[in-house]
Amino acid sequence: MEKRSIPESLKKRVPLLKDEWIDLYTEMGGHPHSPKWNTECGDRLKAEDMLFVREYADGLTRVRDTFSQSPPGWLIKWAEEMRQRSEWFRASFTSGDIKDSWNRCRPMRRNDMQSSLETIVPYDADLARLVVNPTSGTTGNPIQAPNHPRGVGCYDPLIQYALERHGVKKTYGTGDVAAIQVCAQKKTITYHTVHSYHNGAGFAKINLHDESWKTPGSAEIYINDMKPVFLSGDPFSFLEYMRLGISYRPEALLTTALHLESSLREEMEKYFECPVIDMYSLNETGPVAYSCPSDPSRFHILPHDIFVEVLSPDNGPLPENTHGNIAVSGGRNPYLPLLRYLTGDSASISYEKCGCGEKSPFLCGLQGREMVLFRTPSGGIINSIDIAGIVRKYPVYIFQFMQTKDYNCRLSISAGSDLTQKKEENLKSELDSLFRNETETFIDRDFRPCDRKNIPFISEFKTGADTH
Amino acid sequence: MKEQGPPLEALIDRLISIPDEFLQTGRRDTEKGVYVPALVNDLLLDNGGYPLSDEEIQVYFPDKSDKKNVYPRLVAILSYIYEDSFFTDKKNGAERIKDFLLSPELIELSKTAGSAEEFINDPDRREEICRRALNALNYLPLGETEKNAEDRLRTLDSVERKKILARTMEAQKRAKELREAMMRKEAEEAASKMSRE
Repeated sequence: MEKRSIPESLKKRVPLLKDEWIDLYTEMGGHPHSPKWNTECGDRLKAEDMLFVREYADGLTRVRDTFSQSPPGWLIKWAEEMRQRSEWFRASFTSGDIKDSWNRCRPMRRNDMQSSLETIVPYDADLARLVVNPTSGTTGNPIQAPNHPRGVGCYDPLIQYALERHGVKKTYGTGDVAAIQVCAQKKTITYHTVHSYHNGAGFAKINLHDESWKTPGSAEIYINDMKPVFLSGDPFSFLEYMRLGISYRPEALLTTALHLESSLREEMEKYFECPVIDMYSLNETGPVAYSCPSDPSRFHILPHDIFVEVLSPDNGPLPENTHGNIAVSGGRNPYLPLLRYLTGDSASISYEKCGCGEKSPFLCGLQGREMVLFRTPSGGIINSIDIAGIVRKYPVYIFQFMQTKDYNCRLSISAGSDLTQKKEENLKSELDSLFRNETETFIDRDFRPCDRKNIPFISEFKTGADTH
Repeated sequence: MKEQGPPLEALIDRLISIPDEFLQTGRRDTEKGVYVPALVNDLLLDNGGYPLSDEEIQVYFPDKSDKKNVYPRLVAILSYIYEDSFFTDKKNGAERIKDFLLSPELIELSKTAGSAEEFINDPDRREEICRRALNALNYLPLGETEKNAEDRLRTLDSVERKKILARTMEAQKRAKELREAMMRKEAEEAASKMSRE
């Protein structure tokens, strides 16, 4: 068979691309009902990266009984290496024994990644392979965390592990579509690609928003024709999927980014008739934990290369089964070695043996980012990501968006004089347009958050089953 | 456990009134300036010790030393400080004095200054050199506790300040490099991943 010439741009994005993967890639991209693609993307994995990812996958399944309640030996050794390579680690462990001083070292915070990233990134890190995955900013405060293709590449075995724990064991062959990621926002990147780790299995990121499609029925047709093994998304996008009545039923759902209420989980399980895997994952850390197949209120620690602690407000370690702040150390991102990174979420941790058979500890009472729903009088639901996206285009220091049950919206902001009257009018106009001009947003410029932790989105509408 | 030394102010006053010739160091065979090894030898003898060996003189005070080298003049300044009667009356500090004068710490300190005069004219630098002189012989400034003296010396530490400055400049350079790389990469594509966050 004649070898086809692969476009350079595709080869650059999928360096390990094989000839036999091109048919699927072309079919996914050129399907008559495909979305209006707005981005091109690939795994960017080179041969040495793939070696790393495969070794990682092997470790992930093999090393499941080294999770410990105190910093394990491998972590101390790693931190010692980081002390020589990262200013953050050097300053955190100025003297002597890392194990002894671990509990006294100041946790890393979101602010530190935003304001002092250069102190965390190792001095000798080669920035040439750096990638920046855009974040949705569900909290209104996104972090642009640098990553490496091999760090992102490890998501595939991590997700595969979680799927297998929920009974979905799949080895992908040429022509299979592994997953479609479903979004529901006014605007987001959409692309199709093939993943080298999964032998060229297809993956597409799509947006259910009607402006993303050629015809009203295209999303349904496309997803049904692609037949992805699993769908990934967040509670909001799955809610929208159900609201649109899309008929395709995958083998599993993977939901991330937002807290999944149990009532919504039940609705999703009923609608999709497949396991619903909730994954606790952040841009800064990658996947941290996945919901237990026996008890979805438990989240088993997923990667074998992180150490998860629960800390008190003054950063001391808390005993098992005591609720506190989640801190993550370690990881595989060469640009972002984590040292007691406070995720901003809380839970308790248990080392009890779980009936599901998983050996890693589990988080209980995980309180992450709540899904906050905003509505139009005609029944549409508006994603907080789109609200944040509009507000962030303007010179606003801090904001809070609130909707009451009468559909009225209030945007409270703190801003300087460069938010002129004209800009304020434009901001209001954009928000009104987002709500399809069915409701008006009142802008209040005298915003003073009443405590240190501002809640950017508040809605008097309930989340969960009553929303579709 | 450190001993109480002389009042710091007295040592600083002594330093301020240092004769000019101590800052005009010269070679053995010239008439201009002081010959530092001879100064040091007199000092060591006055403090109950022995003179420098020929090898030590060759290593630390070679004849062909760079004129811009601050170290020999810093040693001359310290020699003047240590000629204070507080030290010479005791006649027991020679070994520690020699260790300090020939120490890598002092050589590094000399590199933080553009000229030896900084250790006389700059208030912080002269306080630093007097405190270091006392610390090297295990003395505290009169009336100070060990903790106070340590904290104060740490605050004045030029060597540490230079390291911090170098680290800061390096960090700023790195921050700029990182910011530029991230802006470039943000504009380019990311790496595909099957879940969102």
